[in-house]
Order: sequence, then structure tokens, then C-alpha cells
Amino acid sequence: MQFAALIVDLAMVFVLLLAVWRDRARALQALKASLRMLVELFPFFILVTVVIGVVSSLLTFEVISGFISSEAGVKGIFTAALIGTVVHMPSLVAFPLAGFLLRNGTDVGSVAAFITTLTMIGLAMLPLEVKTLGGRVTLLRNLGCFGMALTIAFLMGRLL
Amino acid sequence: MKYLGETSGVKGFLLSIALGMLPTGPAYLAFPIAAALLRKGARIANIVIFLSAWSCIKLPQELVELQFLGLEFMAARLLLTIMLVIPVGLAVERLASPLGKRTADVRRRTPPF
Repeated sequence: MQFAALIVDLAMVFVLLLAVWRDRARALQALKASLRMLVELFPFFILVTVVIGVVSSLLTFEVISGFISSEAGVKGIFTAALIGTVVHMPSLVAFPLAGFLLRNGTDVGSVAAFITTLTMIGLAMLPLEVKTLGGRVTLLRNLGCFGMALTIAFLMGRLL
Repeated sequence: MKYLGETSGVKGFLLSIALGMLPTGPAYLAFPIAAALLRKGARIANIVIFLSAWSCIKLPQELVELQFLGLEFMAARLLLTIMLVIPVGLAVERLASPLGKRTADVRRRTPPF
């Protein structure tokens, strides 16, 4: 994670230097704009972090696997997708958990649904998404992604 | 915005996927970028595709998935995701703007950056 941040930061510095070199005035303007954006969005970033922290302390590894492995079929897939929506975790934690579930006999579709909603939809990120993209697009995007996760899950259950 | 705007077709979809695939970072970093693109007149479909790709079609993420869930699982999920991302993007765009407009008016909601 830290390594990825380093790469992103280096890329940012590089792009900024390039911008300054091309057009100093516009680069300065862009810097001001991004500073304003940071100030504007900062409370939302804090909110996202806090919600993720609280949720992950409540829903531990065991709780999640208990929920998901208890049911199979349509209901199992739906439950798994819902849990994936609520919970938020880095993929480096999520994939080992999913692997653990799969090895312990959880339905392939449920695991796929869980992983897909986990990475695509975050309840904690909703305020930020509404703020940046607007309510309508946010609502439709999340519904669309949820439907997409369910579709992927059903098809994977059929295929594998 | 020639590439992501109103008249961009399949190339725009593919570019959106590529844009989302490359950077690493949590999903909440993608929203400000998406908002900036929308403001500059990118198609809603392309933005939705970009966000989906950002969260689901990451190269490093697929490698972790391969390691923990196996080739079959990873390949099947990746293929299905890629196939579904574009239809979902188009559907969201269609529903978000019933009048057939492909771009969003986000000026009121986002700060002038």
C-alpha cells in the first residue's frame, strides 16, 4: 500500500513539473483549484475513513464468514452481495478472506457476489460520491453495480 | 474531451476502462477525478465505466485474486466483469438523463475547480 502511494506521488510530482514547464500560469491556476477541491472534500474523506473503521471493527472476519457460509443459492448470493456493500476492506485482505470462504465450501456465486460488491460499492463512500457526482448518477451507478454483481454471481455459479 | 465526450463511441469505452485500470488507489480517490471529467463534458457512460474499471479491473488486484482464488475463478469473474461494464454504463447513462443527453450538469453540485 505504501509503495503504491509512493508511485502515485512520484507520478503527481512529475506531471506537476511537466505542467509548470509547459505553462507556468495555468499550472498555478490548477494548483489553486486542486487546493480548493481538497478543502471542499476533506470532511468527506474523514467521514469515509471513520465509517470504514467503525464498520470493520464491528464486522470481523468471523462474523462475515459466518454470515456468508451459512446460506447458499439465491438467498446466499443476495446476502453476500449486501455484506460486500456494507463492508469495506483493502483487496489485500478481501481476497484471502474470499479464498478462505471458497476453500471452506462456500458457494462460488456467493463469493463472487461478495468480492464484486466489496470492490465496487462502498456504503461509506456514498456521501463523497453524492457530493462529487450528484445524487442521481450515484443512485443509478450503485444500483447498476449491485445488479451487475448479482449477474456475475449467478453466471459464475453456472459456469464453475 | 474528444475522447470521452458525447460523440465518443467504442473507443471512449475502451479508453475509460484503460484509464480506470492503471492507477492504484482506493475507490474514493476516483470520485474527484470522475467529477472533474464529468464537468469537462465526459459522457456519463464513460464515467461509470471508468469507476467500475477502477474498482474491478485492476491489474495488481487480479494478480492477488489469482493467487488466492485460483485461475478459473479469477478469469471467469474478470471476463464477466469486462462484458458487463459497458452495458451497465450505458444503462446508467440512459436512466440518468431521460432526455437523451449524454453529459451531466454537475456545475451546481461541484466546486469550481
